[in-house]
Amino acid sequence: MTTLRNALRLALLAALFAGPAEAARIYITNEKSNDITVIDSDSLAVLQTVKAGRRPRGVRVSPDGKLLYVCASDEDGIQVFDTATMKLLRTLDSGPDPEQFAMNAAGDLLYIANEDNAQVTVLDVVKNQIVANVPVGVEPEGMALSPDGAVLVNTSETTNMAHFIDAKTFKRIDNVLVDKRPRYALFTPDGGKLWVSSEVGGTVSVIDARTRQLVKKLRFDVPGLTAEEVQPVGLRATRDGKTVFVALGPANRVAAVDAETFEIRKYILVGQRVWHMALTPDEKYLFTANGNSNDVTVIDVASLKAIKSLPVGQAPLGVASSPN
Amino acid sequence: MPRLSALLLLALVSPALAGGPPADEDWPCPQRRTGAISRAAIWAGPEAQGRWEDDDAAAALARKLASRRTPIDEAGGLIAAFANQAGADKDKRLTLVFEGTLDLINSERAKVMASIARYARGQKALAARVRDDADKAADAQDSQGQGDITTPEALEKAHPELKWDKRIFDDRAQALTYVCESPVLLEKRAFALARALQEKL
Repeated sequence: MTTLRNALRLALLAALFAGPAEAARIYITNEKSNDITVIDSDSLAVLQTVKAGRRPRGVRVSPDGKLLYVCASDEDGIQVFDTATMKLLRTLDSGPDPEQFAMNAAGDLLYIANEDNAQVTVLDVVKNQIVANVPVGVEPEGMALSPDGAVLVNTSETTNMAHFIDAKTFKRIDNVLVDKRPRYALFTPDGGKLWVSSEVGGTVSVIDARTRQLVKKLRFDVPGLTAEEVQPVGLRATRDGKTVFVALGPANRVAAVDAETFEIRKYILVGQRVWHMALTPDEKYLFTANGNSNDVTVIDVASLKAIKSLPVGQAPLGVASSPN
Repeated sequence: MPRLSALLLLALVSPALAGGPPADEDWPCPQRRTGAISRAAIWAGPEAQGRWEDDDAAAALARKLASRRTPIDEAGGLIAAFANQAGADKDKRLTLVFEGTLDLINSERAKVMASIARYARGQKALAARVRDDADKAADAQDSQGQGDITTPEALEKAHPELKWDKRIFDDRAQALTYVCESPVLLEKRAFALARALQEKL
């Protein structure tokens, strides 16, 4: 009887713990092997590798976690995968050479930067219909939508500007000059600030989203590295808005920045040529895609330590996490 | 005959040469020309104490690891064997191995990059020669009243020696894609070795 009771107790405990500990899925786009690596955020193991279109780059998961959107840059389309089966459902018309895109909170509109023809394509994913083509600066790269959905930001590589665009009328509101080759734009979770990374300039510009004035220009003096080795690219913020992670490209480091004091808390050595990153929904881990060492580094967010390297496909670039 | 040389030049300028950073004429690669691999870019371990050349076993391992003849898959085993026998100074000696490996790879990388620049200068000289020859051929044709040659193909037919130089140029331009990858391959090797050494600290 005692054994049975113990067994029941164990089973009950197991059931209790299974609920909240449900693992998230992390999706990595591998630019050169043309596939997607799926990682389990609990066991930190690679679950499967799925074939994608040519040169997969930007990647996002729908708000309900059911769909995975992947830019197939050399096929001029956005592929939609069913996250439950990882089967390709359809390919959406994205305009030429899509690299990065933003998504609205409802998950029905994508805002895609088309590097080759200086425009942003606004795509209704339900109807698979282009809603608008917005002309922007030459070689658009970074895309961000404010949390309230009102303002769209696009960065232009050639004019070195962050363009603020009204997300309803698609009229230009303002342009803010940043350093050379702006690569990625990120709104803080409260929508108050916009962070823009400049790959060649080696800086991150923090802009007040309301006044569009520069609040702070961050530089990254990693001891022992030359300035040209520091190339900020990917950005991610914790939900409380207190920490922003900056991927520093060939510096092989991720900077953890205090978003209130702008103090750099730590430079974490990751893999080679770190591009983009994603946090797990519980914000326990940060995953980084390392383009030259063909792996993903798992960073423990609490201790800011790299705890694991997972080999993935060739030239990993984009990272997205399922919402839960 | 400016038109002729323009035509020929168009045919000669390879995409790799045309796409190089304009600020650095001797650098023909699409990849950025960067200085030596920094220690800090690949190493989070301790600072080295002493010279790596003074520790014979560490230096021998560094040479073996840095050599491209050693498959990268074998590095882990070699490093583990060294670490097991390194004694109390294990971390210090692994750091010396790292220093040696980085020095050797950096010096090889510097040689590779110098030869890429030399290669680019050679290509430019060759392009200039073809251009001159084409101009001369065209002038000769003009004076002989043979009429106008307006395509590179017609010019090559009239002057086969031009074709030969152009072929050399094209071959080299093609090889450049591969050659340009070699500094990057060395960077990848240095990083992979640094990581394997750090794992044993």
